[in-house]
Amino acid sequence: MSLSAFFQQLVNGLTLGGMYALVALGYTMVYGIIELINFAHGDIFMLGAFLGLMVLNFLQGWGLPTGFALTAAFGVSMLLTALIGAGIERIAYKPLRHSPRITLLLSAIGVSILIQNIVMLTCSRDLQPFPRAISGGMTIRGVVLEYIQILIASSSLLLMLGLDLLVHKTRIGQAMRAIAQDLEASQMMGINVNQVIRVTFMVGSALAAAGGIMNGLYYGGIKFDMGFLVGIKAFTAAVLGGIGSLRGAMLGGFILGLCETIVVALLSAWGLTRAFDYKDVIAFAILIIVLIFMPSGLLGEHLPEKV
Amino acid sequence: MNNLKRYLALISISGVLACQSGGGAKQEEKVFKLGAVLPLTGPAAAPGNEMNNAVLLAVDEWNSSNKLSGYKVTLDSKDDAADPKQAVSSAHALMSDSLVAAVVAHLNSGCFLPASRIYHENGVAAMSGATTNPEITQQGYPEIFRLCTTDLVQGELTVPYLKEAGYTKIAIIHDKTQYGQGLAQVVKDACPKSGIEVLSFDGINVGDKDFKAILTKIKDQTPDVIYFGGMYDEAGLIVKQMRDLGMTQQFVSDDGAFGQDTIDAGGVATEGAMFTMVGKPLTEMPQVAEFLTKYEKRFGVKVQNYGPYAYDVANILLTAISKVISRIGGVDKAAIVQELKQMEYDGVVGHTAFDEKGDTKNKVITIYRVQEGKFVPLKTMGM
Repeated sequence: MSLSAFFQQLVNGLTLGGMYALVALGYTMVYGIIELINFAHGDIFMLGAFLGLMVLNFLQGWGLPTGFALTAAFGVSMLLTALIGAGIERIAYKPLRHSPRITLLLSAIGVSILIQNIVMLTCSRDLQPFPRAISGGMTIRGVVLEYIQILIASSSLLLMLGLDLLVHKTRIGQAMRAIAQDLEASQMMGINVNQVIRVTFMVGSALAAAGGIMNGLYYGGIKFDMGFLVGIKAFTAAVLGGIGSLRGAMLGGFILGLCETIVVALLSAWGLTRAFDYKDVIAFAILIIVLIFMPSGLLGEHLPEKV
Repeated sequence: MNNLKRYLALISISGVLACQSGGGAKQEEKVFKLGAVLPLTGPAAAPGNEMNNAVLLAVDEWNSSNKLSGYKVTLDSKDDAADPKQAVSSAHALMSDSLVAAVVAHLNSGCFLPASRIYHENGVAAMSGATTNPEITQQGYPEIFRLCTTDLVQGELTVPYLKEAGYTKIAIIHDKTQYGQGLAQVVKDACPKSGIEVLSFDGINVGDKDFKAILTKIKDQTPDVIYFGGMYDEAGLIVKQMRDLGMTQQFVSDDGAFGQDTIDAGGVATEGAMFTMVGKPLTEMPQVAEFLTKYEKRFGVKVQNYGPYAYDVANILLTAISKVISRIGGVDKAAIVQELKQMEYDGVVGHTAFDEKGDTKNKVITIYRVQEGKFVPLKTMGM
């Protein structure tokens, strides 16, 4: 493998990892608080992308500048998705909060199927082209670095830092950590549990929406079933990093992204001829090995308080 | 009171039973069903629905023309979601209905291959207009037919064309499906004969969106042409990510990627990409114009790829059924299969007759290039 190919694979891996990390943050936040694996999260990601596309197409149809349309698309989509996220929590999860975990999980899978089918039936079954509002990039010694790639990797890092601050430095963050430790005790201490959980879902959903739009911008197309695979991968990233840990989600995302790109490329260069066919096998084998030796994930133990 | 209820219940049940048996006997005389199992949802929903619409058009025409000696045909469409498991269960569901006389079968080779056994076991003729994997008709099932040429034809005609165009080093990617990998393998096997060097042969996952890792590796190997065996979304994304990575190589793909969806997914990056499609170009097909207008008028969208094939499949099946009806006065499944074996039909895609395996004798493919967002035919080749 040439040096430029090596660095190109690094860029590929960091972008892919940033994408996984963005979605993994939402999984880990919700899990941290109510120990629910929110399987609808991948579909909220997809919904955010579709709402963003609608706003973008609408505003560009009016001839507004791309920069403005894009900002508005992010804003409107994140806001609406946050509200939808809160609505889903209210309807599908809150009434089941004291039921067995498995009931909640089934409810989440139900919501996932519901969202997918609504989008498929109301929007389209086909791949929807997404305008490449952020195009261009630079080439450094044969390595192509696109602006959108920088945006994805850096925004996932910034959002992670922002969330970290929110959880550790603010009042509502304190309440989140308290609920994560003991929901009933927090309730007795006068914490408005419903409100805090609602805010958690809203923040997680807004992040997913941002991730969905970036996904559309990067790959140039969105589809009703796009949330499934990303959801599974992001969930894996969250588990790898230690579910419940924000930094772990970030780390897990980047590791998974790098496993699927540079690790596979290195294996292929070292003589494993069909390495690319086994991309997912290799990535998930690494996950299993890590979990055997560190059952609570890479950063799961270092951060005893979840969220 | 209790007794009265029981009597009433008994009477009403027997009434319902009487109605059903009476109704059933009457229906069997006048009605039969044309089954269709196509991907109405899922990754291949766009071409699947086009085919289903084309079949619907044919069925309605047969009903209004009264050529079925008093019989009426209804279309029973089932979804296979481009998923082999779903295809098998839909095929079973369809076969449990004895009114189904013949089946317009599947878009995906991966679906038709396992489902074909079910049609065979039930003795029902099944004909596909789009599945191109050679294995399907090599199983020796007399009930299985298809209207499209196989991947053997497509792959073996593509390679000499690439040689002629001056390419010498090829990197092959496939989507690990029965169809994509099968076709890619044919291309790979045909390369040495034409003196084209195969640099790599890699699989990707259907549904994945990021192919930059594999493309970066291929870029390093400096091929001059990249072949993809697979379908729309992945084809579009691959060609786009090639251009993003600064790769200027010729991209060549297959009939599974021949459609507007590829251009939607790949955008301007698809300019100049080449695709092979079974049969002649639409513009050179006899009688196709009439079908295209009818289709557009009824469904409000343009025909993109396999619509004409599905239309002919439905018409060929219904022609065979009508011949059986006029000969023996009823719908006999075995007789329909026999009728298809000796069928000679002139439809929108040209003249169709089947060889001993059930494949069309009309073995032609056309290579297209994308110019200004449209597929422009370059050359039609036959064997």
